[in-house]
Amino acid sequence: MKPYNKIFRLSLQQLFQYRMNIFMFIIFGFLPLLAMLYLWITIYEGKDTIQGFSLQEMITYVLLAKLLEVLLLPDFHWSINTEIRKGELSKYLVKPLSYSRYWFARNLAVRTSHFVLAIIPIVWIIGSMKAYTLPIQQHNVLLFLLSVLGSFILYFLMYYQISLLTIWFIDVSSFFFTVDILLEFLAGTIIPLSLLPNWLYEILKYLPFSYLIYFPTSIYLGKFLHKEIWWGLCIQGTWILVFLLTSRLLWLWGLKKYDSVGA
Amino acid sequence: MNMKMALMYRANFFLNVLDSIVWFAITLLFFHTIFGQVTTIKGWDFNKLMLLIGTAELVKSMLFVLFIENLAGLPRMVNSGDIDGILLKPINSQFYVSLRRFDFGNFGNILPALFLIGYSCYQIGTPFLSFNTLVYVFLVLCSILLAYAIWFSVMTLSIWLQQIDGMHEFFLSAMTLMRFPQSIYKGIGRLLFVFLIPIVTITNVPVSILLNGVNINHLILFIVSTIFYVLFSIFFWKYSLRWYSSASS
Repeated sequence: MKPYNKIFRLSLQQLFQYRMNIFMFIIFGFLPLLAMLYLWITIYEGKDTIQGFSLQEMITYVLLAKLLEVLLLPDFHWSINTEIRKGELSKYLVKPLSYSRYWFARNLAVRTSHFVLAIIPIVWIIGSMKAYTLPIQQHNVLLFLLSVLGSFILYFLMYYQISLLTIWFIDVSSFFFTVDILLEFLAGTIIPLSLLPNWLYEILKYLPFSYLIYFPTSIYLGKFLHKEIWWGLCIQGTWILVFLLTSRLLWLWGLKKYDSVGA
Repeated sequence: MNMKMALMYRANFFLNVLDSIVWFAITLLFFHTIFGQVTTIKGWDFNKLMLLIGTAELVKSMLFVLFIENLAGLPRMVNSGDIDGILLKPINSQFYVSLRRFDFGNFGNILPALFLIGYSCYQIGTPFLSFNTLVYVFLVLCSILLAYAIWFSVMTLSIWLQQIDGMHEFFLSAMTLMRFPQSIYKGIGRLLFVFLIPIVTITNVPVSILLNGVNINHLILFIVSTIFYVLFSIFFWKYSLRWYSSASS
């Protein structure tokens, strides 16, 4: 574990050199959220609840979902994409490092730095929206944290596999944009998934996406019974195991392809 | 030349089309869900809102085709000094740095936008050829100019704030605000994005004129503010360049 520890610390130092840039990115990233908050407040005029969500619950949902996204959503697929295109993958192959663990450590550093930098604006936003948000919830704190951890790993594995696609399709950067907006929606960052048409919601319950944002956020809001939380954690865990296996296979398969290009 | 470059990236074009189809489906699903709960948002029903969103997407795609390749790299060009070569050319420097290269890949995004506009007009019952439609088309062109002037000014600002290259992220994020009706914005959000940086009016003015007929006050105000922001961007650019040359020498 030691080399990865070092990678984590070094990446963190690197990132904090660019703290102003990252900070601006995070601040500006909240602008679309502003529009959504205005939209929800307008929609709730003259309405008490929508599908069991009060205005306070909805605003809390939207804010927490965004917070979790800042904390969990990886962006290393762009770096891996550049690296593989430039043929820089080789430099990892000669080192006694696991490529996935290397990126896991770096991703952890990036997420940590973003979280630290995002805390001030987020606290400010939550403070200024106080009239519209729920007081801090205390049910199932541990299970909530467990689901966030699961989501972090799940997010990593999904984006890691998407990044590896670069080995087969060189220019996938436009595809990344598509993946980003699709995942954002299916994860429930934009709208609570339970508001979607019922058939879709029933399907999404079994797919990995809803366990990224919707699941932890709903636990926090107390939308699930205990039984449902445990069941959800099982599904989340199962997807993590499945993706651990597939990403390993994808990597081994990709290496064969990568070698043959070089030779 | 530009065309040839674009054809080389045919795959990119189709991926852009795929991207807008996904975006399209998500937007429809989102608003379908919301309008399952309410019938109107501040007087905007589903079709009217789709017209607004279609217009927003059209303006955004046009902006991307024309400017994304040029404006995104502007601060880097200034900081690295590459801009000196352009300033020496006997051509208007603002014109040249804004329109050097086109991104034809983004043409793929225009089709769904036009479809959305056409379909919602059909649902609302707006005649396709009328005086209002002509004014709408004219105002959309104005919008592109206005948005360009704002974008260019924001990028010029980053010449001053050399350390911050996230300024274009600011503009791109702010553009999402124009997808919603002007009337939902209140307080500081309204002050900032309706009056100071009038990004919300970019779509709202043309669409409300198409829906409610020509309001001469709104029309004049919109044209005047477009001219104002374009002039401002020209002035600000010239002023910043003077500062830039004196700083480096």
